[in-house]
Amino acid sequence: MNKWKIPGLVILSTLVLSACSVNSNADQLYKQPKPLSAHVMLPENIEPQSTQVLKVHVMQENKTVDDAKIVQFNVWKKDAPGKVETAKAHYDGSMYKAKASFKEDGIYYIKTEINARGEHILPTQQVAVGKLSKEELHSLQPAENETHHHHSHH
Amino acid sequence: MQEKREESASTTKKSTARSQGLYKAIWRWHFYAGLMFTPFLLILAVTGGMYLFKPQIEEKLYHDFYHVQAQSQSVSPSTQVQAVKEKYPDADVLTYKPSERSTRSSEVGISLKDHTYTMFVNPHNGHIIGKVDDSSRLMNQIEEFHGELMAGTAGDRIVELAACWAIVLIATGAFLWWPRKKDKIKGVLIPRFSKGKNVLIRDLHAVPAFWISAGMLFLVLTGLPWSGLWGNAFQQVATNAGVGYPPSIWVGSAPTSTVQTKDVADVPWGAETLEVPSSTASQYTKVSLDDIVTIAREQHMHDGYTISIPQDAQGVYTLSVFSPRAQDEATIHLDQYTGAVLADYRYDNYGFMGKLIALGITLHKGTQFGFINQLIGLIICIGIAGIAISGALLWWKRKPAKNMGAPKVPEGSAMRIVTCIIVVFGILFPLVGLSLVIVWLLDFFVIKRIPALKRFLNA
Repeated sequence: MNKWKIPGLVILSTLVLSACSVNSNADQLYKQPKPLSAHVMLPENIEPQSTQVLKVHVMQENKTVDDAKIVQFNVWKKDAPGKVETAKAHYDGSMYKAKASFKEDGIYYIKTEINARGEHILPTQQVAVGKLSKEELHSLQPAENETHHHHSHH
Repeated sequence: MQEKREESASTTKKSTARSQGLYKAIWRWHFYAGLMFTPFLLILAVTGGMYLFKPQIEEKLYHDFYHVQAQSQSVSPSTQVQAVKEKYPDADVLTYKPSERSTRSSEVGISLKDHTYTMFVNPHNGHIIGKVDDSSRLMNQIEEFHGELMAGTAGDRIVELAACWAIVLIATGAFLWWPRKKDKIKGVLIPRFSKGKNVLIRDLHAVPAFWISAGMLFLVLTGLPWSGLWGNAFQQVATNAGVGYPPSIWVGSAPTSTVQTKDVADVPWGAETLEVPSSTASQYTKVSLDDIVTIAREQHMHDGYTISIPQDAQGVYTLSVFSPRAQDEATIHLDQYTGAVLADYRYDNYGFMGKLIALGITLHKGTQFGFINQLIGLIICIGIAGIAISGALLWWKRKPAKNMGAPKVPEGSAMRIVTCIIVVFGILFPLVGLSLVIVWLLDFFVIKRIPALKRFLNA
């Protein structure tokens, strides 16, 4: 039996070694993405019946992007998803800007659509305009609750 | 002169004895390995042969769910998913597979009470056509049988072991088959029909085995990378070395979405403070499924792709397609809040080993070259089943009444040489090594101490 000790050990150690895992930076050995990122700047307060300047700073690999094909803000009210208003944004030397009007109180969506360098991103934000009804405030909450609900699965 | 001739005669005799010893040693390994793994190889061949025809079989089984009347109008993906959500409010929506042509339904994958279902939806009007419990799908069951004998991890290990030992069987079998006389075709390339029953049975095992062995070896080698223990370790090593699949396709994790929480904190979400927020409540929301489908089109995803929907705040939308041809494969991870491409891995982005594995998989499954590929796979499966059966028959017909009929352990160094080779193999394939350790322990502590058993096994 003695002569099998060494192969036995080798086999066991191979078994133990094979329980390794993928390095967290292994992805750097493969194709690297160049994702766009956008910093969307919305006004502090949006009053109903107002026109606001919406701004977005577009970046790729930590550098400002100034040659985007399309930058536009799509704005719609939550209870009227079919009525989307599109505001084309223009580059002003540092970021893209456009004017959008908000007519009523309520929850609005602002989707910032950016097409640049073969990439396409569309960060979407929910904003409150003016006074919200109780229902609208409640409707904002399930989104929060939902994430909690999913966390309980794990 | 006379002396010299005698000397050479004696060396010939010695080397003949040695080669006979080697033959016996290899035969012994082939014999026991064959006896042990014949049932499993038979199962793998039969289930594999059926699974090859998955596309045709599923087309028949789910014909009514797959096909819809072509129409010019269609409803948005999110409306289709909404229809499913309305019918099953408690379900989590996991995947969406867009319709690939106007006569094909789209599919929504949901999980409901620990089961996953595929919902077939008519993309033209959003009506639900059918619901299939994924675990009850015939092809999923055959796949489970083929991959893990329907016995979970334990089954997976047994299949892996059988696959590894199949390599031992092929190698030892090739040695036993190897023609020892020159210019001999009968009994090597074609069976001998007129040399009696025993010779015929031997030939009906060895000759087809030769013809089929390359294909069998190919199936084993292309199947091993998906095995649970060896395959997983192999994939991890390949991925870590930069030559395998990029992370997240087989092993490793996907990138994560950046959660934009900055603005959310300004909003008093608490139920007791239902007042008008003092500043603009802005919160990033998930990109809609419709926009994800648009991005998928822009990124030229191959038809038949699936969208995996993020299930938590850090999750990503994953577009993936494992198409019939390995070259069309793609896996793309999108940030769920912006749709930004966080990783885009196509076949061309795999390392060389990843490309080999991917091609191996599509060839193994019979999809790479369509019907002809399926046919060749089927022939190999029938061949493997035939070899397994004829091998068992060969043993049964020759088996003496009182013992297993195993070739005796040869004298001299022959057994040791073969054992060494097998040990090296056991190091390359740890499961084989483990099984060897178990056999030796059994041999040392049990078989060697029970004379009847020892005689029976010819140990």
